[in-house]
Amino acid sequence: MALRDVAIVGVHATEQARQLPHRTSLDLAQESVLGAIADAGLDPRDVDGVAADWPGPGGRPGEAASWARVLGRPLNWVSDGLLDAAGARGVMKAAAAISAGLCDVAVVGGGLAGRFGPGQTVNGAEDYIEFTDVWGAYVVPLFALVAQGHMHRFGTSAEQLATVSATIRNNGSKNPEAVMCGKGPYTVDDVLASPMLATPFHLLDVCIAAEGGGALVLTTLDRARDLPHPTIAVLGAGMELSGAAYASPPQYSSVGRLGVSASTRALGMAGLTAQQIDVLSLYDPNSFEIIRQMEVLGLCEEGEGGPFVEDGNIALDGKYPTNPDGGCLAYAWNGTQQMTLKVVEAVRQLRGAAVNQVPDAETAIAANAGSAAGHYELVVLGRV
Amino acid sequence: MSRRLPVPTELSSAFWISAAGHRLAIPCCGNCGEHFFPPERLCPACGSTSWGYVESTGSGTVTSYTVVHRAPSPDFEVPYVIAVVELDEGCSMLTNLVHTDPESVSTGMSVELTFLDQPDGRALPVFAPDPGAHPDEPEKG
Repeated sequence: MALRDVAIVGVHATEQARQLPHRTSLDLAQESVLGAIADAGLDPRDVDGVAADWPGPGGRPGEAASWARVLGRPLNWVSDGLLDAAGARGVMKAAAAISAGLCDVAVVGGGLAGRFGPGQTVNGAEDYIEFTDVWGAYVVPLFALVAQGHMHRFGTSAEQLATVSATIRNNGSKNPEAVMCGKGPYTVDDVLASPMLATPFHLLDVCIAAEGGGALVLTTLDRARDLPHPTIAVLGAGMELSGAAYASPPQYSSVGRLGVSASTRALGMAGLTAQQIDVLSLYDPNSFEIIRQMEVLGLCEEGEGGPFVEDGNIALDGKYPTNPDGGCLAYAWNGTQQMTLKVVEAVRQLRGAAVNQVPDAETAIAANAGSAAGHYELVVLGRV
Repeated sequence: MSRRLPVPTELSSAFWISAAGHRLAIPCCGNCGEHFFPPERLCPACGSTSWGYVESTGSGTVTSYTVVHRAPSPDFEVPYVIAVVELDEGCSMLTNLVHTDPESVSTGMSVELTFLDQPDGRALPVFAPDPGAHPDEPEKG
Protein backbone atom coordinates (compact mmCIF):
# COMPACT_ATOMS: atom_id res chain seq x y z
CA MET A 1 0.00 0.00 0.00
CA ALA A 2 1.00 3.59 -0.54
CA LEU A 3 -0.24 6.79 1.02
CA ARG A 4 -2.87 7.12 -1.74
CA ASP A 5 -4.42 3.83 -0.62
CA VAL A 6 -5.56 5.58 2.55
CA ALA A 7 -8.71 7.70 2.87
CA ILE A 8 -10.11 10.21 5.30
CA VAL A 9 -13.49 8.77 6.19
CA GLY A 10 -14.64 10.78 9.19
CA VAL A 11 -14.39 14.38 10.32
CA HIS A 12 -15.73 16.36 13.24
CA ALA A 13 -15.37 19.92 14.41
CA THR A 14 -16.73 21.06 17.77
CA GLU A 15 -18.12 24.48 18.46
CA GLN A 16 -15.38 27.11 18.20
CA ALA A 17 -15.41 30.33 20.20
CA ARG A 18 -13.03 32.83 21.67
CA GLN A 19 -13.72 31.21 25.01
CA LEU A 20 -15.63 28.07 25.92
CA PRO A 21 -15.97 28.39 29.69
CA HIS A 22 -18.50 25.54 29.80
CA ARG A 23 -16.10 23.10 28.14
CA THR A 24 -12.82 21.37 29.03
CA SER A 25 -10.02 20.35 26.71
CA LEU A 26 -10.78 16.68 27.39
CA ASP A 27 -14.47 17.14 26.74
CA LEU A 28 -13.69 18.83 23.40
CA ALA A 29 -11.12 16.18 22.47
CA GLN A 30 -13.53 13.35 23.27
CA GLU A 31 -16.41 14.97 21.38
CA SER A 32 -14.04 15.41 18.43
CA VAL A 33 -12.67 11.88 18.37
CA LEU A 34 -16.00 10.14 19.00
CA GLY A 35 -17.76 12.52 16.61
CA ALA A 36 -15.33 11.79 13.79
CA ILE A 37 -15.68 8.04 14.37
CA ALA A 38 -19.48 8.37 14.24
CA ASP A 39 -19.23 10.52 11.10
CA ALA A 40 -17.22 7.72 9.51
CA GLY A 41 -20.00 5.25 10.28
CA LEU A 42 -17.62 3.29 12.49
CA ASP A 43 -17.69 2.05 16.06
CA PRO A 44 -15.02 3.21 18.57
CA ARG A 45 -13.85 -0.41 18.78
CA ASP A 46 -12.97 -0.27 15.08
CA VAL A 47 -10.21 2.26 15.81
CA ASP A 48 -6.81 0.70 16.54
CA GLY A 49 -4.51 3.65 15.81
CA VAL A 50 -4.44 6.92 17.72
CA ALA A 51 -2.61 10.17 17.07
CA ALA A 52 -4.95 12.19 19.25
CA ASP A 53 -4.08 14.54 22.06
CA TRP A 54 -4.99 13.45 25.57
CA PRO A 55 -5.15 16.56 27.75
CA GLY A 56 -6.31 14.77 30.91
CA PRO A 57 -7.56 14.64 33.61
CA GLY A 58 -7.52 10.87 33.84
CA GLY A 59 -5.30 8.66 31.77
CA ARG A 60 -1.95 10.33 31.45
CA PRO A 61 -1.72 13.79 29.87
CA GLY A 62 0.12 13.71 26.56
CA GLU A 63 -0.02 9.93 26.27
CA ALA A 64 -2.13 8.79 23.33
CA ALA A 65 -2.53 5.31 24.81
CA SER A 66 -4.94 6.94 27.27
CA TRP A 67 -7.52 6.67 24.49
CA ALA A 68 -7.60 2.86 24.76
CA ARG A 69 -10.14 2.99 27.59
CA VAL A 70 -12.34 5.43 25.65
CA LEU A 71 -12.25 3.29 22.53
CA GLY A 72 -12.76 0.10 24.54
CA ARG A 73 -9.87 -1.82 23.05
CA PRO A 74 -6.09 -2.14 23.03
CA LEU A 75 -4.31 -0.05 20.41
CA ASN A 76 -2.00 -1.20 17.64
CA TRP A 77 -0.39 2.15 16.89
CA VAL A 78 -0.03 5.48 18.68
CA SER A 79 1.77 8.73 18.01
CA ASP A 80 2.51 10.95 21.00
CA GLY A 81 3.22 14.64 20.66
CA LEU A 82 1.00 17.64 20.23
CA LEU A 83 1.94 18.50 16.64
CA ASP A 84 1.64 14.89 15.49
CA ALA A 85 -1.92 14.78 16.84
CA ALA A 86 -3.34 17.31 14.42
CA GLY A 87 -3.84 18.37 10.86
CA ALA A 88 -1.72 17.53 7.87
CA ARG A 89 1.09 16.10 9.96
CA GLY A 90 -1.32 13.84 11.80
CA VAL A 91 -2.89 12.75 8.51
CA MET A 92 0.41 11.88 6.88
CA LYS A 93 1.67 9.99 9.90
CA ALA A 94 -1.56 8.06 10.37
CA ALA A 95 -1.77 7.36 6.63
CA ALA A 96 1.83 6.18 6.66
CA ALA A 97 1.06 3.83 9.55
CA ILE A 98 -2.05 2.44 7.83
CA SER A 99 -0.30 2.00 4.49
CA ALA A 100 2.58 0.25 6.24
CA GLY A 101 0.09 -2.16 7.75
CA LEU A 102 0.68 -1.06 11.35
CA CYS A 103 -2.98 -0.32 12.04
CA ASP A 104 -6.30 -0.36 10.19
CA VAL A 105 -8.27 2.65 11.40
CA ALA A 106 -6.63 5.70 12.94
CA VAL A 107 -7.95 8.83 14.57
CA VAL A 108 -6.20 12.21 14.69
CA GLY A 109 -7.34 15.18 16.74
CA GLY A 110 -7.92 16.86 20.08
CA GLY A 111 -9.34 19.96 21.70
CA LEU A 112 -8.45 23.00 23.72
CA ALA A 113 -10.35 25.08 26.28
CA GLY A 114 -9.51 27.32 29.19
CA ARG A 115 -6.27 28.73 27.92
CA PHE A 116 -6.89 32.09 26.34
CA GLY A 117 -8.06 35.38 27.72
CA PRO A 118 -10.51 37.61 25.88
CA GLY A 119 -9.27 39.40 22.79
CA GLN A 120 -5.84 37.83 22.78
CA THR A 121 -4.05 37.60 19.48
CA VAL A 122 -2.30 34.36 18.85
CA ASN A 123 0.79 34.10 20.98
CA GLY A 124 3.93 32.08 20.51
CA ALA A 125 5.35 29.18 22.41
CA GLU A 126 4.44 29.02 26.06
CA ASP A 127 7.98 28.45 27.21
CA TYR A 128 10.41 31.35 27.37
CA ILE A 129 12.82 31.41 24.42
CA GLU A 130 16.11 32.94 25.49
CA PHE A 131 17.12 35.03 22.49
CA THR A 132 13.58 35.77 21.30
CA ASP A 133 11.27 36.71 24.17
CA VAL A 134 13.82 39.08 25.69
CA TRP A 135 13.32 41.50 22.78
CA GLY A 136 9.57 41.65 23.23
CA ALA A 137 9.11 39.29 20.31
CA TYR A 138 6.03 37.09 19.98
CA VAL A 139 4.32 35.46 17.07
CA VAL A 140 2.84 38.58 15.45
CA PRO A 141 6.12 40.58 15.21
CA LEU A 142 8.09 37.43 14.39
CA PHE A 143 5.87 36.72 11.38
CA ALA A 144 6.02 40.44 10.62
CA LEU A 145 9.79 40.20 10.14
CA VAL A 146 9.23 37.69 7.33
CA ALA A 147 6.44 39.77 5.80
CA GLN A 148 8.53 42.92 5.96
CA GLY A 149 11.32 41.15 4.09
CA HIS A 150 8.90 40.20 1.31
CA MET A 151 7.54 43.75 1.09
CA HIS A 152 11.05 45.18 0.94
CA ARG A 153 12.22 42.78 -1.75
CA PHE A 154 9.18 42.68 -3.97
CA GLY A 155 7.19 45.81 -3.21
CA THR A 156 4.30 43.86 -1.74
CA SER A 157 1.87 46.41 -0.32
CA ALA A 158 -0.18 46.75 2.84
CA GLU A 159 -3.25 46.87 0.56
CA GLN A 160 -2.36 43.48 -0.89
CA LEU A 161 -2.02 42.01 2.60
CA ALA A 162 -5.35 43.55 3.55
CA THR A 163 -6.94 42.04 0.44
CA VAL A 164 -6.15 38.58 1.79
CA SER A 165 -7.60 39.40 5.15
CA ALA A 166 -10.78 40.96 3.79
CA THR A 167 -11.34 38.07 1.37
CA ILE A 168 -10.95 35.30 3.94
CA ARG A 169 -12.75 37.18 6.72
CA ASN A 170 -15.70 37.73 4.41
CA ASN A 171 -15.85 33.98 3.78
CA GLY A 172 -15.96 33.39 7.52
CA SER A 173 -18.60 36.03 7.96
CA LYS A 174 -21.00 33.66 6.16
CA ASN A 175 -19.95 30.51 8.06
CA PRO A 176 -22.30 29.81 10.99
CA GLU A 177 -19.58 27.76 12.71
CA ALA A 178 -17.07 30.61 12.53
CA VAL A 179 -15.92 32.51 15.61
CA MET A 180 -16.32 35.68 13.55
CA CYS A 181 -19.63 34.70 11.93
CA GLY A 182 -21.65 37.78 11.06
CA LYS A 183 -18.70 40.13 11.51
CA GLY A 184 -18.01 42.26 8.48
CA PRO A 185 -18.10 42.36 5.55
CA TYR A 186 -14.69 43.97 5.55
CA THR A 187 -13.07 46.12 2.92
CA VAL A 188 -9.36 46.59 2.37
CA ASP A 189 -9.75 50.02 3.96
CA ASP A 190 -11.37 48.49 7.06
CA VAL A 191 -8.35 46.26 7.53
CA LEU A 192 -5.94 49.16 7.03
CA ALA A 193 -7.93 51.30 9.48
CA SER A 194 -7.73 48.71 12.26
CA PRO A 195 -5.09 49.28 14.96
CA MET A 196 -1.48 48.52 14.07
CA LEU A 197 -0.06 45.60 16.06
CA ALA A 198 3.39 45.22 14.54
CA THR A 199 4.22 46.69 11.15
CA PRO A 200 3.00 45.64 8.62
CA PHE A 201 0.23 43.79 10.50
CA HIS A 202 -2.96 45.52 11.56
CA LEU A 203 -5.35 43.89 14.00
CA LEU A 204 -7.50 42.57 11.15
CA ASP A 205 -4.42 41.13 9.40
CA VAL A 206 -3.98 38.54 12.13
CA CYS A 207 -6.15 35.88 13.68
CA ILE A 208 -7.46 35.84 17.19
CA ALA A 209 -7.01 33.02 19.68
CA ALA A 210 -10.03 30.80 20.23
CA GLU A 211 -10.94 27.45 21.71
CA GLY A 212 -12.41 24.30 20.26
CA GLY A 213 -11.51 20.92 18.85
CA GLY A 214 -11.56 18.72 15.81
CA ALA A 215 -10.72 15.20 14.66
CA LEU A 216 -10.28 13.01 11.59
CA VAL A 217 -10.59 9.28 10.99
CA LEU A 218 -8.53 7.45 8.38
CA THR A 219 -8.61 3.91 7.04
CA THR A 220 -7.73 1.99 3.92
CA LEU A 221 -9.28 2.97 0.62
CA ASP A 222 -10.79 -0.52 0.34
CA ARG A 223 -12.59 -0.15 3.63
CA ALA A 224 -13.53 3.45 2.86
CA ARG A 225 -15.58 2.35 -0.15
CA ASP A 226 -18.03 0.61 2.20
CA LEU A 227 -18.47 3.68 4.40
CA PRO A 228 -21.17 6.36 4.04
CA HIS A 229 -19.29 9.36 2.63
CA PRO A 230 -17.64 9.92 -0.75
CA THR A 231 -14.13 8.49 -0.65
CA ILE A 232 -11.44 11.12 -0.07
CA ALA A 233 -7.94 9.73 -0.64
CA VAL A 234 -4.63 11.06 0.66
CA LEU A 235 -2.99 11.60 -2.73
CA GLY A 236 0.24 13.14 -1.50
CA ALA A 237 1.92 14.68 1.51
CA GLY A 238 5.08 16.41 2.61
CA MET A 239 6.58 18.39 5.44
CA GLU A 240 9.50 20.72 5.86
CA LEU A 241 11.02 22.27 8.98
CA SER A 242 13.74 24.90 9.28
CA GLY A 243 14.63 24.29 12.90
CA ALA A 244 13.29 24.66 16.40
CA ALA A 245 10.36 27.09 16.62
CA TYR A 246 11.39 30.71 17.12
CA ALA A 247 14.96 29.86 18.20
CA SER A 248 16.62 31.70 15.30
CA PRO A 249 15.56 35.08 13.94
CA PRO A 250 12.92 34.58 11.26
CA GLN A 251 13.58 36.45 8.07
CA TYR A 252 12.61 36.11 4.47
CA SER A 253 16.10 35.13 3.30
CA SER A 254 16.07 32.03 5.50
CA VAL A 255 12.42 30.92 5.66
CA GLY A 256 10.62 32.81 2.89
CA ARG A 257 10.62 29.84 0.56
CA LEU A 258 10.06 27.21 3.21
CA GLY A 259 7.46 24.78 1.91
CA VAL A 260 8.67 24.60 -1.69
CA SER A 261 10.27 21.22 -1.24
CA ALA A 262 7.36 19.86 0.83
CA SER A 263 4.79 20.96 -1.74
CA THR A 264 6.89 19.71 -4.65
CA ARG A 265 7.04 16.35 -2.95
CA ALA A 266 3.33 16.27 -2.08
CA LEU A 267 2.11 17.38 -5.51
CA GLY A 268 4.58 15.07 -7.24
CA MET A 269 3.26 12.16 -5.21
CA ALA A 270 -0.27 13.15 -6.17
CA GLY A 271 0.65 13.52 -9.84
CA LEU A 272 -0.91 16.98 -9.84
CA THR A 273 0.22 20.55 -10.34
CA ALA A 274 -0.84 23.28 -7.94
CA GLN A 275 -2.92 24.73 -10.77
CA GLN A 276 -5.03 21.56 -10.80
CA ILE A 277 -6.09 21.97 -7.18
CA ASP A 278 -9.74 23.04 -6.84
CA VAL A 279 -9.77 24.37 -3.30
CA LEU A 280 -7.09 25.44 -0.83
CA SER A 281 -7.30 25.26 2.93
CA LEU A 282 -4.11 27.03 4.01
CA TYR A 283 -2.61 28.29 7.24
CA ASP A 284 -3.58 31.93 7.70
CA PRO A 285 -2.48 33.21 11.10
CA ASN A 286 -1.94 36.46 9.22
CA SER A 287 -2.63 37.86 5.80
CA PHE A 288 0.94 37.64 4.55
CA GLU A 289 1.26 33.92 5.09
CA ILE A 290 -1.30 33.34 2.31
CA ILE A 291 0.70 35.48 -0.13
CA ARG A 292 3.82 33.51 0.75
CA GLN A 293 2.06 30.18 0.26
CA MET A 294 0.66 31.16 -3.14
CA GLU A 295 4.31 31.47 -4.21
CA VAL A 296 5.59 28.43 -2.31
CA LEU A 297 2.90 26.18 -3.76
CA GLY A 298 3.78 27.38 -7.25
CA LEU A 299 0.48 29.10 -8.00
CA CYS A 300 2.48 32.19 -8.92
CA GLU A 301 6.11 33.20 -9.14
CA GLU A 302 8.13 34.30 -6.14
CA GLY A 303 7.40 37.96 -5.49
CA GLU A 304 4.13 37.91 -7.47
CA GLY A 305 1.91 36.89 -4.56
CA GLY A 306 0.76 40.43 -3.82
CA PRO A 307 -0.61 41.22 -7.30
CA PHE A 308 -1.86 37.62 -7.50
CA VAL A 309 -4.19 38.03 -4.52
CA GLU A 310 -5.14 41.54 -5.63
CA ASP A 311 -6.39 40.04 -8.90
CA GLY A 312 -9.00 38.03 -6.99
CA ASN A 313 -7.41 34.61 -7.42
CA ILE A 314 -8.06 33.51 -3.83
CA ALA A 315 -11.71 34.64 -3.71
CA LEU A 316 -14.53 32.10 -3.48
CA ASP A 317 -15.28 32.70 -7.15
CA GLY A 318 -11.62 33.06 -8.10
CA LYS A 319 -9.33 30.55 -9.77
CA TYR A 320 -7.90 29.30 -6.47
CA PRO A 321 -10.53 29.65 -3.76
CA THR A 322 -8.69 29.75 -0.46
CA ASN A 323 -10.09 29.15 3.01
CA PRO A 324 -13.79 29.21 2.13
CA ASP A 325 -14.56 28.50 5.82
CA GLY A 326 -12.94 31.74 6.92
CA GLY A 327 -9.67 30.12 7.97
CA CYS A 328 -7.84 31.03 11.13
CA LEU A 329 -8.62 34.67 10.44
CA ALA A 330 -12.37 34.23 10.91
CA TYR A 331 -13.35 30.59 11.47
CA ALA A 332 -11.00 29.51 14.25
CA TRP A 333 -7.47 29.35 15.54
CA ASN A 334 -7.61 27.11 18.59
CA GLY A 335 -4.05 26.07 19.35
CA THR A 336 -2.97 22.96 17.48
CA GLN A 337 -6.37 21.68 16.37
CA GLN A 338 -6.79 24.61 13.97
CA MET A 339 -4.48 22.41 11.89
CA THR A 340 -7.13 19.69 11.93
CA LEU A 341 -9.83 22.19 10.95
CA LYS A 342 -7.87 22.84 7.72
CA VAL A 343 -8.29 19.18 6.83
CA VAL A 344 -11.91 19.10 8.00
CA GLU A 345 -12.72 21.96 5.60
CA ALA A 346 -10.87 20.31 2.70
CA VAL A 347 -12.78 17.05 3.27
CA ARG A 348 -16.12 18.83 3.53
CA GLN A 349 -15.39 20.64 0.27
CA LEU A 350 -14.53 17.36 -1.48
CA ARG A 351 -17.68 15.77 -0.10
CA GLY A 352 -19.67 18.67 -1.52
CA ALA A 353 -20.91 19.46 1.98
CA ALA A 354 -19.13 22.69 2.90
CA VAL A 355 -20.78 25.93 3.95
CA ASN A 356 -19.20 28.03 1.22
CA GLN A 357 -19.05 25.18 -1.26
CA VAL A 358 -16.69 25.44 -4.22
CA PRO A 359 -18.64 23.84 -7.08
CA ASP A 360 -17.43 20.38 -8.14
CA ALA A 361 -14.32 20.41 -5.99
CA GLU A 362 -12.41 17.19 -6.61
CA THR A 363 -8.93 18.04 -5.33
CA ALA A 364 -7.79 20.03 -2.34
CA ILE A 365 -4.70 21.01 -0.41
CA ALA A 366 -4.83 21.29 3.35
CA ALA A 367 -1.72 22.92 4.74
CA ASN A 368 -0.42 23.79 8.18
CA ALA A 369 2.52 25.96 9.02
CA GLY A 370 3.68 28.24 11.74
CA SER A 371 6.48 29.48 13.95
CA ALA A 372 7.03 32.41 11.56
CA ALA A 373 7.27 30.17 8.50
CA GLY A 374 9.48 27.76 10.41
CA HIS A 375 7.56 24.68 9.41
CA TYR A 376 5.20 23.58 6.64
CA GLU A 377 3.05 20.48 6.31
CA LEU A 378 0.57 19.74 3.59
CA VAL A 379 -1.61 16.97 2.28
CA VAL A 380 -3.12 16.73 -1.17
CA LEU A 381 -6.57 15.19 -1.01
CA GLY A 382 -8.81 13.99 -3.79
CA ARG A 383 -12.24 12.47 -4.31
CA VAL A 384 -11.61 9.09 -5.89
CA MET B 1 10.80 49.44 32.21
CA SER B 2 12.21 46.12 33.28
CA ARG B 3 11.61 43.06 31.25
CA ARG B 4 11.76 39.40 32.08
CA LEU B 5 15.29 38.20 31.45
CA PRO B 6 16.41 34.72 30.49
CA VAL B 7 17.88 32.20 32.89
CA PRO B 8 21.33 31.72 31.35
CA THR B 9 22.24 28.21 30.24
CA GLU B 10 25.66 26.59 30.16
CA LEU B 11 25.83 27.76 26.55
CA SER B 12 24.82 31.35 27.16
CA SER B 13 26.18 32.33 30.58
CA ALA B 14 29.36 33.81 29.08
CA PHE B 15 27.20 35.86 26.70
CA TRP B 16 25.25 37.42 29.57
CA ILE B 17 28.36 38.02 31.70
CA SER B 18 29.97 39.83 28.75
CA ALA B 19 26.80 41.82 28.13
CA ALA B 20 26.78 42.99 31.74
CA GLY B 21 30.22 44.45 31.00
CA HIS B 22 28.91 46.07 27.81
CA ARG B 23 30.58 43.66 25.43
CA LEU B 24 28.76 41.64 22.79
CA ALA B 25 30.17 38.13 22.80
CA ILE B 26 29.34 35.85 19.89
CA PRO B 27 30.31 32.22 19.32
CA CYS B 28 33.20 31.69 16.90
CA CYS B 29 34.24 28.21 15.84
CA GLY B 30 37.84 27.30 16.58
CA ASN B 31 37.76 24.70 13.85
CA CYS B 32 36.24 26.46 10.84
CA GLY B 33 36.12 30.11 11.92
CA GLU B 34 32.34 30.43 11.54
CA HIS B 35 30.60 33.03 13.70
CA PHE B 36 27.12 31.96 14.68
CA PHE B 37 24.21 32.95 16.86
CA PRO B 38 22.39 31.91 19.01
CA PRO B 39 24.90 29.69 20.83
CA GLU B 40 24.45 25.96 20.43
CA ARG B 41 26.56 23.00 21.40
CA LEU B 42 27.87 22.16 17.93
CA CYS B 43 29.04 24.67 15.36
CA PRO B 44 26.20 24.74 12.78
CA ALA B 45 28.76 24.99 9.96
CA CYS B 46 31.13 22.13 10.78
CA GLY B 47 29.77 20.34 13.85
CA SER B 48 32.75 21.08 16.04
CA THR B 49 32.41 21.56 19.81
CA SER B 50 35.57 23.64 19.92
CA TRP B 51 34.04 27.07 19.72
CA GLY B 52 34.44 30.00 22.06
CA TYR B 53 33.06 33.45 22.52
CA VAL B 54 34.79 36.36 20.81
CA GLU B 55 33.92 40.01 21.13
CA SER B 56 31.94 41.43 18.22
CA THR B 57 32.91 44.76 16.75
CA GLY B 58 29.26 45.71 17.26
CA SER B 59 28.73 46.98 13.73
CA GLY B 60 25.93 45.58 11.70
CA THR B 61 23.13 46.05 9.20
CA VAL B 62 19.37 45.83 9.65
CA THR B 63 18.08 43.00 7.44
CA SER B 64 14.48 43.09 8.68
CA TYR B 65 12.50 44.93 11.32
CA THR B 66 9.05 45.51 12.72
CA VAL B 67 7.65 48.37 14.77
CA VAL B 68 5.64 46.81 17.58
CA HIS B 69 2.58 48.71 18.77
CA ARG B 70 1.09 45.96 20.90
CA ALA B 71 3.46 44.48 23.43
CA PRO B 72 3.27 40.95 24.82
CA SER B 73 3.42 42.38 28.35
CA PRO B 74 3.32 45.78 30.08
CA ASP B 75 7.11 45.51 30.48
CA PHE B 76 7.59 46.91 27.01
CA GLU B 77 6.83 50.52 26.21
CA VAL B 78 5.31 50.86 22.75
CA PRO B 79 6.17 51.54 20.07
CA TYR B 80 9.45 49.66 20.02
CA VAL B 81 11.49 48.18 17.23
CA ILE B 82 12.45 44.52 16.88
CA ALA B 83 15.08 43.96 14.22
CA VAL B 84 17.24 41.29 12.73
CA VAL B 85 20.77 42.68 12.67
CA GLU B 86 23.43 41.02 10.58
CA LEU B 87 26.72 41.63 12.34
CA ASP B 88 29.79 42.42 10.30
CA GLU B 89 31.14 39.05 11.47
CA GLY B 90 28.42 37.42 9.33
CA CYS B 91 25.88 36.08 11.81
CA SER B 92 22.45 37.52 12.53
CA MET B 93 20.71 38.18 15.81
CA LEU B 94 17.31 39.33 16.91
CA THR B 95 17.51 42.53 18.91
CA ASN B 96 15.92 45.91 19.55
CA LEU B 97 16.73 49.20 17.86
CA VAL B 98 16.86 52.15 20.24
CA HIS B 99 17.56 55.88 20.17
CA THR B 100 15.71 56.26 16.89
CA ASP B 101 12.33 57.29 15.57
CA PRO B 102 10.72 53.95 14.64
CA GLU B 103 9.42 55.56 11.46
CA SER B 104 12.98 56.26 10.32
CA VAL B 105 14.15 52.65 10.50
CA SER B 106 14.85 51.01 7.17
CA THR B 107 16.16 47.73 5.84
CA GLY B 108 19.85 48.02 5.06
CA MET B 109 20.56 50.77 7.56
CA SER B 110 23.87 50.61 9.42
CA VAL B 111 23.63 50.22 13.16
CA GLU B 112 26.02 50.24 16.09
CA LEU B 113 25.95 48.31 19.34
CA THR B 114 24.72 49.91 22.54
CA PHE B 115 23.37 48.51 25.79
CA LEU B 116 20.22 48.71 27.86
CA ASP B 117 21.18 48.34 31.51
CA GLN B 118 18.81 46.16 33.51
CA PRO B 119 17.90 46.46 37.20
CA ASP B 120 19.61 43.16 38.05
CA GLY B 121 22.99 44.39 36.81
CA ARG B 122 22.76 42.68 33.48
CA ALA B 123 22.55 44.54 30.20
CA LEU B 124 20.93 43.85 26.86
CA PRO B 125 22.92 44.31 23.67
CA VAL B 126 20.77 46.45 21.38
CA PHE B 127 21.52 48.64 18.40
CA ALA B 128 21.17 52.27 17.39
CA PRO B 129 21.61 53.96 14.03
CA ASP B 130 25.25 54.43 13.16
CA PRO B 131 25.62 58.24 13.26
CA GLY B 132 28.51 58.05 10.82
CA ALA B 133 26.38 56.32 8.21
CA HIS B 134 23.74 59.05 7.98
CA PRO B 135 25.63 62.34 8.22
CA ASP B 136 22.64 64.33 6.99
CA GLU B 137 20.29 63.03 9.66
CA PRO B 138 20.79 64.10 13.24
CA GLU B 139 20.44 61.20 15.64
CA LYS B 140 17.03 61.22 17.19
CA GLY B 141 16.51 60.56 20.85
